[in-house]
Amino acid sequence: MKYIITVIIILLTSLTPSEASDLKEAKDIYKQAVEEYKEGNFRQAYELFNNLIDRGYSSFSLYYNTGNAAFKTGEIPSAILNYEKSLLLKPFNEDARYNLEIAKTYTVDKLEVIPEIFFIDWFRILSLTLRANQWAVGALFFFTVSVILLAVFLFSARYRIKKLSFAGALILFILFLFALGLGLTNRSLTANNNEAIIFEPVVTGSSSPGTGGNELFVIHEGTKVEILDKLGDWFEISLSDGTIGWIPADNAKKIIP
Amino acid sequence: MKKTVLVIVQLLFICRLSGQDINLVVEAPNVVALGEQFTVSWTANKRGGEFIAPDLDDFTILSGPRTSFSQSTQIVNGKVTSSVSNTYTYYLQATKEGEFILDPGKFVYEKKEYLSSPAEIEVVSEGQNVQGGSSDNRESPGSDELYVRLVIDKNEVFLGEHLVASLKIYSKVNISGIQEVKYPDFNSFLKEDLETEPLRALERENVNGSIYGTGILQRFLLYPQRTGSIEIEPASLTVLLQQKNKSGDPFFGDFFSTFSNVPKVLATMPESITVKPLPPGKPETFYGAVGSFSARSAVNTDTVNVNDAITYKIFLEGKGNIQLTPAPDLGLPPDVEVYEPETSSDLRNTASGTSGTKVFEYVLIPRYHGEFTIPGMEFSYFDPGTESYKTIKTREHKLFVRKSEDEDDPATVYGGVSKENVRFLGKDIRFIDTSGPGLTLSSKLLIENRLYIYSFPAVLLVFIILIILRREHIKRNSDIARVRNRKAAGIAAKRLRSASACLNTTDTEGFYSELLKALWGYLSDKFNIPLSELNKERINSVVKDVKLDNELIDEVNEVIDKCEYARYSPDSDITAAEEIYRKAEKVIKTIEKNNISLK
Repeated sequence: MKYIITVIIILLTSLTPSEASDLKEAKDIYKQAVEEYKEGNFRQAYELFNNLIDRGYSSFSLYYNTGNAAFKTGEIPSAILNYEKSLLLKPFNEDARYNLEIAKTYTVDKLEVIPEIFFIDWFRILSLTLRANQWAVGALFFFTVSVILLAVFLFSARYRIKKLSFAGALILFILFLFALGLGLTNRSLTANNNEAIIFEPVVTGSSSPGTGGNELFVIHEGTKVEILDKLGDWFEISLSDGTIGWIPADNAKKIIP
Repeated sequence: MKKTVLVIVQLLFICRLSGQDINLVVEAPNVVALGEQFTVSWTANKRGGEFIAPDLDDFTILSGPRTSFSQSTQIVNGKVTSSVSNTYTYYLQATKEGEFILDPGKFVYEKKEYLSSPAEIEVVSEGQNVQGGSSDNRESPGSDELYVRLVIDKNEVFLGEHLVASLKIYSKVNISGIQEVKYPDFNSFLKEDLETEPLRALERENVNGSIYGTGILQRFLLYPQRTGSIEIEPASLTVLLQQKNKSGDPFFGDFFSTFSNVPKVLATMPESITVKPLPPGKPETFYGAVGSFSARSAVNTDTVNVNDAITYKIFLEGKGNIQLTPAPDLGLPPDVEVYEPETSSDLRNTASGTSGTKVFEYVLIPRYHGEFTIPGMEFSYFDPGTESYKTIKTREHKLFVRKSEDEDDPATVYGGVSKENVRFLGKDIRFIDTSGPGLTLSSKLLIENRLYIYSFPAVLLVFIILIILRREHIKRNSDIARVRNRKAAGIAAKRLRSASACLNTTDTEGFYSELLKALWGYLSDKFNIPLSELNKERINSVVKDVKLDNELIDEVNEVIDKCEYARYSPDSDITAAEEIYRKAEKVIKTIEKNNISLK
C-alpha cells in the first residue's frame, strides 16, 4: 500500500525536462549559497537563498538556511518568517524551533500567547507531517479501496469474506475522512495560511482601514499576527492576545511556504 | 632553566658591586647656551681615591676641579649606616656650538679603576634669555615662552596596544609652583598612572633651537579600548609665575624689590590617536591580549586521593595589556571539580607597557579515581611588533588519583557535589542544514483541482454501475436452462467449425465424431435434456412435444443415422461428408429460426 502511494506521488510530482534543467541550476545556486554561508558571507548567502525562494522553490532546508542567513545579516523579521515557513514543512525539527526562539528574543513585542486545546494542536502538527497533496492522494486512495471493499462485501457469497471486507471498508472510510481532514487542515496552515510577520520597524494598528481610524496599538517588526480580513490595501489583524486592528497590507508578509 | 641561571648570575653580580660599594656619578646639564657658564661634577662615594677628569677641550675651564667632601652617618634602630660623597666640580664655559660628549671620568681607588657614565652636552647659539634673567619684567609670558603639551609616543596603535602620554611643561620663565592640575579623562582608554618623580626643578632641553626648562608632570600608560580615531581632551593646570613687583621702592630702586606669584592657566591642545583594529584571523584562544607573553603551569602534586584538592597554577608573564586577560578555561574532564580561579598579579607599569606576572590559581578536586590529564592551556596574543597572532601553550599535567581509603562510601561522593546550571557563554543560532536542498517547485494544490474533486463521484459512479451490472448478471444466471438454451447455437457453431477443420484435413473419423458432438450437444442444450438421457428415442419424443415439422424430425434422424453409420464404416468419401455437414447446419439453423424453446 505504501508502495502504491509512493508511486502515485512520484507520478504526480514528476517533472518535465525543462523543469529538470531548472532544478539543476537551482541546486547549483543552493550549493553556492551554502558555501557562502560557511565562509561567513552571510549577505551573499541570504541573497542567493532568497533568489531561489523567489523562483518558486521550497523545501525545509531552503527556508531554514534562508532564516539563518537572514538572522546573521540582521534581518530578524525575515529570519522569523523563514523559520516559521520551515516549521510548516518539518514541524518537529529541533534546530528550526531553537533558532526561531533565539530570533524571537530579538523582537520587541512581548505578547501573551493563548494556548490551543492540545488535540487541536496535535491534529495541526500531524497534518503538517505530510504535504497537502500527499494527504489528498491518500484520501483518494483510501476512498477507492473502501468502495472496492464495499463491492466485495456486496458480491461475495462467503460469509468470512463478507465480514472481513465490510470491516475493511469501514476502517478505510474512516481513514479517508481522516486524511481528507488532515489535508484540509494542512491547506489552511500552508497555502491558505492567514498568519503573517510584521516587516516594518513600527506599525500602528488603527480601528478602521484607511487613515481615518483611531490608533489602537503599536507593534514592531518580527511580531506574528493573524490576518482576519482584507480590504483594499489593509489587513484586519488579530494579535496573539486577541487585540484586533487594521494595518497597511504591505507592512506584513504572510507565512506561506 | 637558562633564564633562571641568568637571573642568578645577575643577582650575584649586583651583590658583588654593592659589596665594592664604589661608583662614580656624573652630573651635567643637557643643553647650554653659547657662552653660558655651567658646572659639571663627578661624585664618588669613597674617599681617598684619585680622580682623573676626562678631556674637557671642547669647553673653556673657568675653574676647577674643586673638591668637596661630605659624610653622613645614620643610626636607625641601632643600625649604623654612613654615606660618603666626594665631589669634583669644574666650572666651564661653552665656546663652540654643537653636540659634545664628555668621556667617562675615572676614579682610581686601591689600583682599581671605576668609570662614570659619559655625559652629553648640547651647545645652542640662541639662549641669551635663558631661564631667569631678562624676562622678569614682562607682564605675562607669551605662549611660546610657557606652554604645556601632552606628549604621546605613538599616534597610531593597534587595539589593545599600549601608548604613553606625558604631560610636559615647557617654560622660559621662572615658575614658583604648579597648582590645580586637571588631567584628561582618557575616555575609551584603560589608564594606568606611570610612576613619575615629583617635579622639583625644570630640566633644560633644546626645543627647535631654543632652550626651555622642561618637566614632566605625570605620565600615563594608556590602552585603547575601541578602534577608530580617539580624541583626548585637553589637560589644564595653573602655573604660579614669579614676577617682580613693578612699583619698586622710590628710594632704593630695585634693590629691595619684591616678587609676587601670579597664577596663569595653561591648557594642552587636544590630541587625536588613531586606533587600528586587529587584523583578521584571530585564533580561537584569543581574548584580546596584545603584547608579548609567555606562559607556564604547575601543579603542587601529581598523585592525590579522591576528593583531595590539587592546586593548579597558570603563570602568564609578559608585557602588554596583561591585566585584562580573563582566566582561561581548563577543559577538564567532568569528574574533576574546578573552583573559580583565584587571580593574583604582580604588575609594574613602565613606559614600555605593563609587565609582570599574572597567576591563575585553580583548586581542582578529583571526584573519581583514575588517571586524568590536565590539558595544556592555549593562549593567543597579538604581537604588534610583527603584526601577527601568536599562540603559546603550557604543558600537560598527568594526575594520578588514588582510590579513597574510606571504602565505605565510594559512591556517595557524587551526591555531595553541588550542581550548577550549565553556564552559557553566549547565545547563537544553530548552524545551517547541510543535508541537501530537496528543492521542489511549489505545486498547485490537488485538493482544489476540479479533476481531483470529480474523481470521488467518478469512483462512486463506477461502483453503482458495477452493482447494476451485477444485478442483471445474477438475474440472467438464475435460470441455467435459459442460459444453455441461449448459448446452444453458439456452442454448436463452434463445434461445427472444428468439424469442418477436420474435413479439410480429410480426417473423416474426427469429422463425424465432432459433427455428432455438435448435434447431440445442441439438442441437449436446446431442449434441456441431460446428456445421460440423450438418445434418438428421447429426442424424438421431446421434439414431438415441441411440435416440430415432421420433415425436420426426419432430417434430424437422417443426419444422426448417417453420421453414426459413416463413423464406423471406413470407406466414406468426402462429398458425402460435406453433404451431411450442410444438412446438420441446416437443421440447427432451422431450429434456431423457429426460435424453439421449452415451454
